[in-house]
Amino acid sequence: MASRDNAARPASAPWLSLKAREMLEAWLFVSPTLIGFLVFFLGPLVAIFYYSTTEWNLLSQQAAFVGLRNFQNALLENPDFWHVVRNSVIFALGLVPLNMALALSLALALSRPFFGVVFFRTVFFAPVVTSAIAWAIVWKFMLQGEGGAVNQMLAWIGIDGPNWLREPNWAMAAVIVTRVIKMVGLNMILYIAALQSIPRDYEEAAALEGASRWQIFRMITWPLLAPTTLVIMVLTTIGSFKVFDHIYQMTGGGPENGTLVLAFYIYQQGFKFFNVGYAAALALIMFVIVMALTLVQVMLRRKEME
Amino acid sequence: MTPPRTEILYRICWTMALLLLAVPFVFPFLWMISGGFKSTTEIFGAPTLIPRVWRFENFAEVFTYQPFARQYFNSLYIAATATVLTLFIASLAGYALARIRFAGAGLLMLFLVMALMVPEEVTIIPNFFLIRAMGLIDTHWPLILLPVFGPQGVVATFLMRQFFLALPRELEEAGKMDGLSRFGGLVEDRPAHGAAGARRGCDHHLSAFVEPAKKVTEANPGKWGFEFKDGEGYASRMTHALLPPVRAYGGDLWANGQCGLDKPEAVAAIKQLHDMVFKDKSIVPPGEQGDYFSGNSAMTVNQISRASKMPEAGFKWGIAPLPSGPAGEAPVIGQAALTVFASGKNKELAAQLVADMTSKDNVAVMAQFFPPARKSVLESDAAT
Repeated sequence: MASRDNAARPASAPWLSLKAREMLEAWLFVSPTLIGFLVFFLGPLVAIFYYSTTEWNLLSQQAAFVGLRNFQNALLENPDFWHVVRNSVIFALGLVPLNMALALSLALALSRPFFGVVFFRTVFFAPVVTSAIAWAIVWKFMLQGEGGAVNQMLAWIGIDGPNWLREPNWAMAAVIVTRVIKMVGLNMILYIAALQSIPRDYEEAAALEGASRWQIFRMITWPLLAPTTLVIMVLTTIGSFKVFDHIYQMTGGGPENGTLVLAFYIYQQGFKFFNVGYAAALALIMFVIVMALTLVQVMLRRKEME
Repeated sequence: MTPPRTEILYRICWTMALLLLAVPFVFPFLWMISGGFKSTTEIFGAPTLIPRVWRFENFAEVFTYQPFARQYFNSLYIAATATVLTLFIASLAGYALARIRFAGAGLLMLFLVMALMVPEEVTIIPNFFLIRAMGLIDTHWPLILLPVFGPQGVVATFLMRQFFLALPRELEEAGKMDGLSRFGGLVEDRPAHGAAGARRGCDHHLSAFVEPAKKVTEANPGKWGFEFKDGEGYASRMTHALLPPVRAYGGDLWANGQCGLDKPEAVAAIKQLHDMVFKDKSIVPPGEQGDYFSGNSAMTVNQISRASKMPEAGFKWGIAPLPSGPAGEAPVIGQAALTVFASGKNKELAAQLVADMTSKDNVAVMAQFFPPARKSVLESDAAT
């Protein structure tokens, strides 16, 4: 075997110092990852900076340098942009708290074994591994104004449901809730794992001292969950800004651009209207927003933990 | 004990609430199943969970309306290829990041974290041009390459790194002693391979102690091959460190009322230890902390009683006889004694204490730490 020969050689005739050989080995091991990172991430990231300074229409195949014109257009002139940012923020503000509260509640209910716990965990996790497109198609049918399953159920209790995906405000609520149902299982699993790693002694000791269930949760469980909560909050926020296929399938950004969010807007500008330069500028702005949100969350949590 | 009635009621309410909450999670799946048997008009019409007309032909039409078998196969093979490639590449990088200390590792980790935080939508446009420039548009390659090197690949690398950090190093060290390169170690690490102890156990000669100690040290920068008993070989436990090798070489610390340390056998033994400490640097040198029990040295010499704590050590371990030399085997001998001085003030009381401490019952208790002093205990169950 070749690798055995390689190992035997340096021992008898060292052609590189041990340290240099270690370095070489390490870089050889990480080189596929590194090359992939440079080619498919860092390179494109740098390219985005260049594109964002051009007026580049994919159809005309001509790129002209326009400086900061695209950013000026997005931030100051085009009202669509702020409308889209507003939609993204509403989507995130609706989705993140709902997702996290539901995930934590489910995890608290399902972290200890009881009859049927596996069934319930499976039920709440199943949508996570379902295709996002299939999920969106089914909900689209179920949310039809006339004859949709949801409105039919509401009719049983005397509520005349709206045409969910055809009215801007209801459409936003509908995409948020259906997205939460799709993704909450993932956060639930993360919370369950965290809860199960908390030694039961703490809670038992507190219970012996006469602490109520709420006090135990507030004073012991919740602080111990803080690192997990941070990770979940960051990942869920990033995820909510990245949402694309769900909206693409359910509403296509409509009605009246009521659910047009940032990721979808970038796609629309770049691949439907072929404004590559403008789309690149949007992508950079999105990058900055997501990074800033992540940093703010990390710093807030750190402050809280001190 | 049956739980009180309120507890049962509480559980029933709980389960009912969970069942109610489960409806929007389960219903889409039921809807999919029922929709699979419905006609198009029925799907768009007033919804019923049970189809009015069961159209089993839907499932046949899936294969005639579109090349579904081909599509399904494409999904399968793209997923399989991407998974295998990710596993391979991520395990290589994860291994290096976990096991080898190299310049730039921290920076690399930072870059990878950054890749995790940037949405794919940000790089999607340049990646499209890149793929087009590579002539890979309308092929399966972008579907394979982008996940492998994208965020999923980064997550896989981190998971692999965590996994390697948790894997006992001993397995790899055993592999290295068998002459495996790092790659061989990565590929052939299997618990059975390490547990067998491989070549480590077959030959306990002193020279066979020096070489592995050196190899282990070289393979693990910042760690050592061997630690004297509790790191005290240069001070209070000097005889623990010197006596076994000196005797194995055929010398002794003293003989016939003379110091034996300047005899050639003793010099050879001490020179060997000296070279291991200062030339090979495979023995923890004076002033360094190379504690065996926290995994910083591969071998040590200690009382057998110390093994009672090893099951909690968190790494694989074993016991081997001390290395033998030209004069055969030489164990470390340690003794402890209790004495009552005849001229003491409370001679009677002291004698009672000694008698009590060495009573059969108390020797049996101490047998968990030391070989018992009483023959009757030594031969009883307490000594095992």
